[in-house]
Amino acid sequence: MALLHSDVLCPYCLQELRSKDLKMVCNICGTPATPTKTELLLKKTPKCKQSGCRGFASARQCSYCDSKLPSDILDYEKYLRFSILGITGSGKTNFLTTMLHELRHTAESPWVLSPMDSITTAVFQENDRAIYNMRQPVAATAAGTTPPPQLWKIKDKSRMTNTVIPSYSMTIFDGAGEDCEHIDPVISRYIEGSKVLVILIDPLALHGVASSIPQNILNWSTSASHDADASADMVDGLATYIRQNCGIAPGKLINRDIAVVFTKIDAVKDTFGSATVMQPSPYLARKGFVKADADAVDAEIRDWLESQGENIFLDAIDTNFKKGSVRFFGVSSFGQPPTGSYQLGKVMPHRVLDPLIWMLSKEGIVPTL
Amino acid sequence: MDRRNYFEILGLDFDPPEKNQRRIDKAIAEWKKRTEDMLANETIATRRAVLSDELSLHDDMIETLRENKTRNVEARALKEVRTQQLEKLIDIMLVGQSGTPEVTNAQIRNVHLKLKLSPKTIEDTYVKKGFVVQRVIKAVNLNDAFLTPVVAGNISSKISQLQAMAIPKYPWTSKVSDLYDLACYFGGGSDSDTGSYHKKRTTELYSIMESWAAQFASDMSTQGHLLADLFTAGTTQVFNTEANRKKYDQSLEREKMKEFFALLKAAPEDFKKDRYFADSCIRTIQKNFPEYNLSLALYNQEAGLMQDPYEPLEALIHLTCGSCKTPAEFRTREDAERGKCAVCGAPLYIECPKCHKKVPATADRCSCGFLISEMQFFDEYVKATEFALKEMDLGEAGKQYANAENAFPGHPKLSALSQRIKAERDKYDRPLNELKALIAARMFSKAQTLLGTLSASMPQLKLDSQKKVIDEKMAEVKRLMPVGSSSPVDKANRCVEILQIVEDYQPAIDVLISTRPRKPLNLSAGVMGTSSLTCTLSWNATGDKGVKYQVVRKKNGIPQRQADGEVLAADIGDLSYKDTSLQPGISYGYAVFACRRNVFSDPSTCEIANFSELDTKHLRTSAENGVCRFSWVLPPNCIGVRILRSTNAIPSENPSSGSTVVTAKASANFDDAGVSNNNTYGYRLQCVYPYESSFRYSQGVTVMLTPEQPPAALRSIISRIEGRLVTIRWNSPDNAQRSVLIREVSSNAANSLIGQVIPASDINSMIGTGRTYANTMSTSMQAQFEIPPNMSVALAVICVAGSKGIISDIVRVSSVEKCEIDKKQTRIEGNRLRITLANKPKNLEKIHYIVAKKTGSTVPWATIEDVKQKSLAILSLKEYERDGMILVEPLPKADLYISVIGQYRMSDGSIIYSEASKLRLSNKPKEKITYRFTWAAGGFFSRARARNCKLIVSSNAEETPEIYVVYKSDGHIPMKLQDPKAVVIHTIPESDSGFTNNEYVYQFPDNTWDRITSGTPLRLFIQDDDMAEFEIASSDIESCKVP
Repeated sequence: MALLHSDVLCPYCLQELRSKDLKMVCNICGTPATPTKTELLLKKTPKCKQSGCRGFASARQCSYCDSKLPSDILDYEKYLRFSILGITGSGKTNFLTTMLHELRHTAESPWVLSPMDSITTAVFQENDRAIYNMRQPVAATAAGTTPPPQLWKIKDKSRMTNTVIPSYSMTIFDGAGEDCEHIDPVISRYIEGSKVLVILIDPLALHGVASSIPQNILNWSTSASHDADASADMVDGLATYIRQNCGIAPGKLINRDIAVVFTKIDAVKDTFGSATVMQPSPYLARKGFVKADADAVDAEIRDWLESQGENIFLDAIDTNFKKGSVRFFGVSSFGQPPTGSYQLGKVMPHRVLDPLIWMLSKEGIVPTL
Repeated sequence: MDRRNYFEILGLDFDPPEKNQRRIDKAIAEWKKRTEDMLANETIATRRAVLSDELSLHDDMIETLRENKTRNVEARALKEVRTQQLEKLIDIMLVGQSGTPEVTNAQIRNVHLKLKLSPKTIEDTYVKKGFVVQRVIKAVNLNDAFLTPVVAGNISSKISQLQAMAIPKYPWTSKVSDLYDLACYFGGGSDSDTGSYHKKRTTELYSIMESWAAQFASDMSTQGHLLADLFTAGTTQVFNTEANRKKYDQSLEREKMKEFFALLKAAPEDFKKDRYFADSCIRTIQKNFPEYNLSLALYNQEAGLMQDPYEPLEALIHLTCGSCKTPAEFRTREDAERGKCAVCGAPLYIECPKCHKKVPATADRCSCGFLISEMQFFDEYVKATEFALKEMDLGEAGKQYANAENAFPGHPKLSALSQRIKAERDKYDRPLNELKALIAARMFSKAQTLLGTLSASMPQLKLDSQKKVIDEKMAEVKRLMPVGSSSPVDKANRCVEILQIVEDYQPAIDVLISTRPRKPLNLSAGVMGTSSLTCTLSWNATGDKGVKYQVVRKKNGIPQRQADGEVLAADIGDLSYKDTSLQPGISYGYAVFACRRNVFSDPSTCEIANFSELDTKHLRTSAENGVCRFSWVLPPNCIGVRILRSTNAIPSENPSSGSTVVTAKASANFDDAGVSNNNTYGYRLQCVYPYESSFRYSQGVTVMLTPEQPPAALRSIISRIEGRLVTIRWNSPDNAQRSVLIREVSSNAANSLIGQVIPASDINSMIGTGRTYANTMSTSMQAQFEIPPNMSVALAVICVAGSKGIISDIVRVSSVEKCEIDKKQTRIEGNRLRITLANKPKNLEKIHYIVAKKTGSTVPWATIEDVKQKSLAILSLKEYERDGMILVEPLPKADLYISVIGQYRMSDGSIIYSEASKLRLSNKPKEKITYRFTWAAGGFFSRARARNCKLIVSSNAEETPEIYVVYKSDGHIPMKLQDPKAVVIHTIPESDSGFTNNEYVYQFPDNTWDRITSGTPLRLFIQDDDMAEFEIASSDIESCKVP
């Protein structure tokens, strides 16, 4: 995505910046330095003006949020940002962790993924260790807290030339069980700034689904204890919020890309039988977003929701968001139910990359087939 | 001028001080109002001035009492004043007193009410002044002092009935007022004696009551019943113990005060706790019940004050004169111990003769346990002792002396009395004891003689009772002596009975000595045991009384007299005898004699002989190649073994034509070489015993033996197990055909038998009764069989020849349930293989697996050897359970050969492997099949219609599976072919050549859609089995909907 009036997007505050708006600070003493006209003209890194300091003002800071920006912030081709939202227990962090893990470790993946800052590294490593080494789901993020966004750098091998490899910045905001009625200002900034909103739904938390599923399967879900309409209410609340902040009239449908991702799809695999959503994702193998497959999955999930009597939820989606901008996905972060109390079996994520590849296709990074 | 203390003015508690501010404020307000009212009504100027002054204290009062510190100072000041007042009062009370004064709790409460000091402060003050606080007087339990009202009332009412009853036989009934009077009249006393019966000992009264109770028990008349009841009450409730008698006495006294108690009950309640009234009443009661505490308890009981009893203010020591029963009071114990009765001058305390402590004269017991009340009977006991001595009744004299000693230990009179008794005993005891012993031993003849001697030499001795007994017994036996024509047996039996009465009656003894008892009947003998022999003799009695038996034994002969042989037992009363000192091989003769007064009967006799057999525990027999071998251990007295042999039969006991004596007398072993292989021989081994100049033979031990060529051990035994199938291979030592038996070993001792030749019949006992898994020939070189799953078993490989076998080896094999791959759940997802097990067999420890592709002509299935060479991947059961699968990635794009072999750890620690579970899956790229529908195009203003529908299926596959066109009857998307609502509207047949031009087109009849709702999704499905090779998807999902 090209920014219209700016060169850079601050991955922290999602503020669009012009390169000249970036604050330059000394890499030794941290003192801000303004480049002279000559330095600007010659595109030289300004020297630190602090007496005695011989550093260069090579470090960059966001002039809005003062966050220290990566040194290569000006080199990114695209600035991706999306928010993962969902009620507590819907599996947001697990989904995000397995998605990133798959993206980094799948042999067929054409992308090289690396964290942009130490916080992202630490958070990812901790979550990755919990799931893949300790075989335990990531502990729930405390609701109401504002976790820092995860900042990733994607290098696209498929478009690499002898001299250049396209890079993208990816800011992912992993929510903390929002009800979207009382949204924290910081969270609202990410929601507002996200190109795509990923709404995670635990199917076991849907009343219609839960009523037709055996209790032992329901026990896998920690969000099943929510109010029956919690997911629908979240969608309504989110839509209201977007309307208010984007000046959209209440009667007008929102034109924002929404990936409605049903997690824990393995829990209802018997219902889906040999449907497309239960088949392995063809995207990586075919190196693109396979629209027919995505349409089939979308249709299957919608149809399944209807058959389960989840019209409230479907209505919440259809009456708030423009039809073409919403796509349903079915994923399973772990691929199989837990083998014991708080104990995962072999982690075999199912279709967790589908929403991301859809987003990349929207950005034109991957082709739509 | 000093002001009054504020606590005093307000009447508030000061010890401890009142802390409740509201209460203080209320008291101040009330005082102020009260004082102001008084001031308003007061006319006297001086008095008004006083009141005004007092009112002027108001503000200071509030100030002082508000603060804790000042309030406490004010309270403490008043407490000090009041304590000083109390001390002065105590000082006044102590004037002229000596000893340790006591104060009661009642007095402390009294002072508390007056001075408002706390009881604790008052008590401390008294203690400081040398007082001892007398704790609450322990209330006397009236039930311990009186008979229960029911019992007392019952006796009283019956006495009243008796008084009213006119009985001609007992004209004095109207004069009977209590049980003492009753005892007096029935004990033969007159009116003047009634008083003396009150002083009689309880035991005497009890015996009177008891004897009359027994007499009246059978009297059915009204008066009889009444008297029986009274005497029974006397024995069971009054005179049975000293305590009950005392209760009865006190109940009688209480009855006498009935009128006074009636007046006391009617007295005003206010008076009852008045000190003067109460103390006066208690003194009145003390006239009958001198003990103060009892009187106090009676007062409280009769005045109805049991719930809130009266307690005397003064702490006095109340005593009663032991002689005249006059009460006395003292302030201190020291005064009381020194005090004497004011009326008769008797000391109120006496010294306990036992522990020499001072004890109140009226006390029953001293604290050391000595019974003080018993002292009064001392003189009586002394008199009774002297009387008994005079009467020459030394037993009674000793008894009375013991009573006297108990009543007053150490009394001077006792030593003289004791000496007298001893002297009398020394003089008369020996002859008397001798006489008693003779009587006890039923030697009445001798006793009669001694009695005559004693009567002559000691005429003062009273021997009437002894003489009476002796004369009676002697008269009885004289009467019983048989006379006339009775048989000798009857006479003897009668004399035995007589001697049971009089042991030394000579005429009876003479008869018995002259009469021989009859010999025992039916003597029989039986021998038991092998190594240690026991002979049991038994016989029957003849009916002769007073006989004992003597058993005599003789070796090699029969005893004829009681001294002819060894006397085993004499004077036995039983009719049997066990002889345990027998030796085998010797003949014994037994004789049993009946014996009475050393007169023996003729003998009853029998003879026994036991020729022991060879002990089979020590007998070894074996049939070998052309020889039968025997070895043994001879029993005692046996001099050798004779062996008889027959072919195919057991030889008889005596040599005959069918048997051969192979040895006449072998000492320890014998080898019979005169036999042929494979023939069966019967042997009898008889023990040889010397008897006089010849021999005797035992019955003999028999055995059948078949000499034969021995079995040979198999060589190079190898076992192998796959799953449950066991294969055992061996090499035969030669070409001979022998049976090979493969048997389960259940005996731990079997290992020690490897290589040993054992009788085939002993296999069970040696290796246990396990299952036989195979029975084959040695030349077949192997045996195959299955064992149950999950079992570890030791197998003995036995080579059997004829009747013998040899355990060639013992091998251990274990079977396990195969670790099966779940063929439905195991599948390829993406580029991952997910292997799931159908079961988790018992003892499974690890899973070895491999996913291989075919590289040559050989199918790459894994074997147990591969596992042993560690060429397979390993996953522990725990890891498998944690993962829920075996995950293999990445996968080659080819046919995959999956082998899974279980590793099991058995209970004995051994490790075994299951055979491989195998599955082939294809991971070749799936053939793609795409499909779409076309419908009749809609018009400019209309949408597409459900007409002219064509299904176009495209695939480049060389062969295509069966494909189903499906919709769901409820209008939803069909997700699986097996859905009950799924309806197949068309089936594309399987094709070995693929679609023509890579496309299949099918035109649906228009009426197909008549029954299908508009908007119903359509999907194409293939069978699950085909999904490994084919992938089917719609190329235009929107077209797959019925318009």
